[in-house]
Amino acid sequence: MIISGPEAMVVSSLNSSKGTSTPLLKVDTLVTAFDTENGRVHAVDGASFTMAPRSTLGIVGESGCGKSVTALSIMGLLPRPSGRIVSGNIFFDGRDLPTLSAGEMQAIRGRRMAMIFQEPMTALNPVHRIGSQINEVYAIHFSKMTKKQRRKAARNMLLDVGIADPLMVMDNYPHQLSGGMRQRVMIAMALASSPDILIADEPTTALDVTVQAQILELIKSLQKKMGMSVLLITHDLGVIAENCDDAVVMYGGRVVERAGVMDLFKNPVHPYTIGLISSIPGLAEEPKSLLPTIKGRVPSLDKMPRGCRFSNRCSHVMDICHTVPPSETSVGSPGHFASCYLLGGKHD
Amino acid sequence: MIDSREKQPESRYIDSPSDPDTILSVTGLTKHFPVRGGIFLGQTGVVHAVDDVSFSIKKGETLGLVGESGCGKTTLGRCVGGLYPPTSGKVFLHGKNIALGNPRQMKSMRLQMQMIFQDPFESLNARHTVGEILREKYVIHGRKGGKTDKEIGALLERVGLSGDDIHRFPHEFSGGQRQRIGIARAITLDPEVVICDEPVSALDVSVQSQILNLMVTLQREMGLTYLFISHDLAVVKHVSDYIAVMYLGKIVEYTKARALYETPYHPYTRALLSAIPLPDPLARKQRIILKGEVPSPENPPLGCRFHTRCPHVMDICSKEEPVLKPMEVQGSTHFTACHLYS
Repeated sequence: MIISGPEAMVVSSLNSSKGTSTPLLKVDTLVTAFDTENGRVHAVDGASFTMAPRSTLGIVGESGCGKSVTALSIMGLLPRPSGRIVSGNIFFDGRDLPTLSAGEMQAIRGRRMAMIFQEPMTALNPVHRIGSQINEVYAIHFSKMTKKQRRKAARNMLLDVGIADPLMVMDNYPHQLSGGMRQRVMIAMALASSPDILIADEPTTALDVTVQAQILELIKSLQKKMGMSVLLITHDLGVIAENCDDAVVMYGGRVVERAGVMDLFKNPVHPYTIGLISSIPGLAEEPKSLLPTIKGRVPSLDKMPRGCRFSNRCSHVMDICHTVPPSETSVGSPGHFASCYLLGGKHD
Repeated sequence: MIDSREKQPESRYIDSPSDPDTILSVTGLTKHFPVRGGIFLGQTGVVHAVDDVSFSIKKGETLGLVGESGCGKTTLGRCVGGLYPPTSGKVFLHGKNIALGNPRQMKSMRLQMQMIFQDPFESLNARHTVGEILREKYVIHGRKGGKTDKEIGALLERVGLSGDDIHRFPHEFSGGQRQRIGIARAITLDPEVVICDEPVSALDVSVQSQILNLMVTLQREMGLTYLFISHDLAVVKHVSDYIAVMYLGKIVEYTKARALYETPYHPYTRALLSAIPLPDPLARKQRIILKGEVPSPENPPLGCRFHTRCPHVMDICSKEEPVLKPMEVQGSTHFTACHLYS
């Protein structure tokens, strides 16, 4: 099969087994469990997806869908001892991350993969100045740099993230900065070592909409400049549509649908994706009209229904849905997959 | 400002408080918070949270109040709801000024005006069952009713909960269900006005749409009047008849919900609208990215408060404060406070 042009990129990025270029990151049937008072729960239950180099992959879902736990699993930052990866693989750069030792993981984390979080105030140390916190990043990853070089690098990095007066900001403590500025500082620290992947977990959720636009624009331009991939985790489908190449929709710890964003929004196939997209209040509808809704609510992880986890809220539920989870099936366009019996999904 | 309104009887920016259709009317509302500091905790500054804001709402309608953090929308809601005494200005409920009311007046006012808050967990007493929370309303206001579980159960069913939930505690419910309890509490005694402060901001998308539908339905059934405060323009648009956009304590634009989205005039409204991420990858739009962030309300910029971030800033903007001026746009009146249109 010979494919050329832009399609080739899409095919190879999503369908790695057939494509020529290998994905930068490949998560394969990942299962992450937490020990709770009510026994062990699977916060991520068999998630699979791939991420192409220099692309932006979005993971979208509501609270408790496992999107953040997936990111923490990739970064090796699961809270211990309650959380651990039970099975599955995370291939990055030809290596399976869960099998690496703590030391090997340390060399990847921060250096090759960096992460920014929703609330930069809690991610920054409140009693150290911004300058010394950025300095620390360089001291850890570039031990050969002199103090002067480190300071200069920190200054340039802050300029890169759009901070007009880096020397003043370096002298400040985190509480002296606004939310948007703190997120810029976090991005500067994350990108100090030019990572291959930036994992952004709800990076703009705590920010106002005009500042959110600034930060997303900044991440986009830095991505282009540094040639990195971005894994963008969000609950906001609008953020996915405007910033991602591909997207993964998660529900109850499982991937229910994944596709290129164009396919996902123009031709969503899983009942949950369809429900989620149509329940967003849009700008086009008449004011005070009733929105389509998904009935009920997300069950807690220890009370998930058997079979398809969406079965108790799905309007197309069938008998088979209550038995075993549907497996992932390809739906038409290359790289578009969904897990639903309506689409001919089979037993696992 | 009032003169221009009188010349434009069809303008809906403020109706006279004595107009029988006008249920809630606010004139010149201002709320300043003192900033204390230093050794003797003397006053070192003033936060201009809300500055000279006026609006009115007619019975059965919704006014959406939208703006970013620090714009004063929550303070405004709390002044209107009687939780903060305003520094100056008047709040008329049915033509009666309630802004400077004594406690007894406030109590009877609260029969007619209720609030729903953002965090339904913090606003519900964790040690009371749902039944007790709702029954308390009848006791406080010396009303009959609410004695039987059946009455309370009917109220719970009205907001989409089950009558059996009456003996459960708030922590046993999810965020969306807790917000339903908050709504049930607000409508218990059949109020006329409900002030909703970010009622769906803490909820997931699929639950958010359920709560919005509930609020729209209750409004239709009970003839409620809403003051709906939110930072989310799409949500505000969805529930409102009229929308007021706030920036640093001031209303910068006011008009019908649909008109605001179709033809925004104020540069801030335009930027705010263009910054909403749309769930449509084909919707390529011109994005206006504002410089910087909202200045501190402790020291708001002179002249137009938006001039430090405005892409169309002119000389006059830093000198003279623009006032809300009416413009006729396709049959409806559009109020904008911007020197571009004067």
